[in-house]
Amino acid sequence: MKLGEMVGMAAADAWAARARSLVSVVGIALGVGVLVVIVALGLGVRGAVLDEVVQRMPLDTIEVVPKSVNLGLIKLGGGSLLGGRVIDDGTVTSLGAIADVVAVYPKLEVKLPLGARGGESLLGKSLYADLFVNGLPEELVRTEVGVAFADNTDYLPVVISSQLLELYNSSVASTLGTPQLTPQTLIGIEFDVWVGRSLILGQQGARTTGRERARVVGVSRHAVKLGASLPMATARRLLAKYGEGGAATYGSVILKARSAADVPAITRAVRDQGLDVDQTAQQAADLMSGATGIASLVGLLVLVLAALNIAHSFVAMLAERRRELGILRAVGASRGDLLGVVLLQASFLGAAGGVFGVLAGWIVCAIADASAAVLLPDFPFKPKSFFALPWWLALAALLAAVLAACLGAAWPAIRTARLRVTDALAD
Amino acid sequence: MTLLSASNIVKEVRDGERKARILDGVSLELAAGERVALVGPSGSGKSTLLHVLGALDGDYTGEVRLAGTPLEGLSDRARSRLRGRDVGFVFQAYNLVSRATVAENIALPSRFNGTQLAPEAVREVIERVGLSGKADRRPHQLSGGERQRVAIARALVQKPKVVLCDEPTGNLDAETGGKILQLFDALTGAGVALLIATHDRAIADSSRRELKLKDGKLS
Repeated sequence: MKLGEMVGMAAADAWAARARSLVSVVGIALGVGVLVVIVALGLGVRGAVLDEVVQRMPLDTIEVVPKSVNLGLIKLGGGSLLGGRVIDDGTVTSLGAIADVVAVYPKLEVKLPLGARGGESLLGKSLYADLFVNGLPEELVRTEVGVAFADNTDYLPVVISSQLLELYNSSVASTLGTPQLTPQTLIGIEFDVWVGRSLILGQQGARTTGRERARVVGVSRHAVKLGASLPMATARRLLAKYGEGGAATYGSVILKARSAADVPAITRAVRDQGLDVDQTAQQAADLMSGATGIASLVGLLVLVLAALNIAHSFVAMLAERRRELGILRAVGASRGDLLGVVLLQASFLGAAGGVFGVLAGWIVCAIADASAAVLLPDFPFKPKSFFALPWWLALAALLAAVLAACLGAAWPAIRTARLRVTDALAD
Repeated sequence: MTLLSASNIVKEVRDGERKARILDGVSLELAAGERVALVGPSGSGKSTLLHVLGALDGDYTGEVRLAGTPLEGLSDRARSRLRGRDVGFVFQAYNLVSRATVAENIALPSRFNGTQLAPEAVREVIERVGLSGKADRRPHQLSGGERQRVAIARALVQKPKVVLCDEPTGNLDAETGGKILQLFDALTGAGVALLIATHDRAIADSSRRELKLKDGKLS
């Protein structure tokens, strides 16, 4: 039997049983719709978390950290106590010597008690907060901030984290009744930095105290999350002036590989040196993927129910058509022909259900996004859209729908193909 | 030229604990252009024999050659193709697809054997069986005789070598039966081998040969 004939016959059969077909299509559409919404939500939230909250790095970049012990909720810093090592200048040099590492960006720990006061011109009131800073290589931040991120003897040029800005705008500003800030409004803001004493650390780690003037020169994704980052030279100058001396240590080191394919080998070399690779983004991604996977089971369950409905529907439909199928066999239809026609008919129902399901899912996502924009209050990292509906998800959902329909129809189809012609004609 | 031959066909079916022998060593030959009547009481195995000879039932022992091809050992696909191409069936119960039109029912075999049947060919066979103007009707809109003519048209449209008929006039009045008989004459005239299982004396008497089947045995 030619494929065109088979398609025509399957379409005619589906149309002839349109009430059953409609129920089957609705069942499949429901399953696919639920699946699409759940996976789109998972992907959307995952993307928002990785891009905005965790701020994952490019694929050719890794962040080296001292070894730590992960106890689930608690992460114990390891260093030499756990057989690892503190990151010092020697470590940075050895990391730079790893094959296929093309750039090394150490993040200098500034172990000084610091406090910041200021912001009256911008916020209408002067605020104080303990300040945590580190030193970053100028070239790491330069693409975001430009040449302003360079040591300056007149003031401390600082960059703040884009996450800190988001946290401030979405929660602190509304609580304190202060205005929302943008990177543009922040640049040029100056404030006082008290060096050598803070509320939390007291004077621990400081040789002397003093006051410096700081100026915000930009916002960077590399800046320390809850604090500010200084150019490396500035940070070293601050440590030399106020610190107790001692060797410089680094909280982490960003390594840029020649290509993403080199990252696994570099990661192994890093671990061989008693250090670890920051996997926060990977762990967050795994967590979100796991949660999405579990939630997707609901959609899959609906799809399985739809497949069972199709199976039931096809069993009944084919039983009603038993004599007709016997006639088709008598005039030359092979078992394969009948199997093909039945499975094609199921594919049509699955494809129709898949298309409607994807469309319904897309509409639900759009409505949910529009509702969230209006009804949900602002919160940190609130995404513009909670859903991501890439083309491959629509395609996968469509394929899943066709597969579910075919699996549902498989047993009735096989039973039909095995039909004894003489028995069918005797009905 | 022999178009259909059967040699020592035995067909048994399980009836509870015991096996019942439906066909018991049946052998026959049918030549081109020959019309043979198969007679016998109800339950003698006439329909079963037609099913075996027409490649509808493969559960038997013995040998059947259809248009020179032995049926034994053929795949389902090959049997189906042979059935659709070389055999025409006419059943007592017509066996038409109720939701298809007359023309669609007649063209049905061509959908499975890959041949492109021209609409003119269907129209021609519709005219030949006297159903002009009824091509778009559905079976339930036709009389019993008209339905049987649709079934005959379907059996003829592929120009088969062998036509097997199972009580083709069983549900028809004498006048309609006579018209059907005329169609059969035209068929044999065209070289088709015709085997008709029947209780109709008129058909049996007008056939070249008469085979009697009783208790699964041919005489």
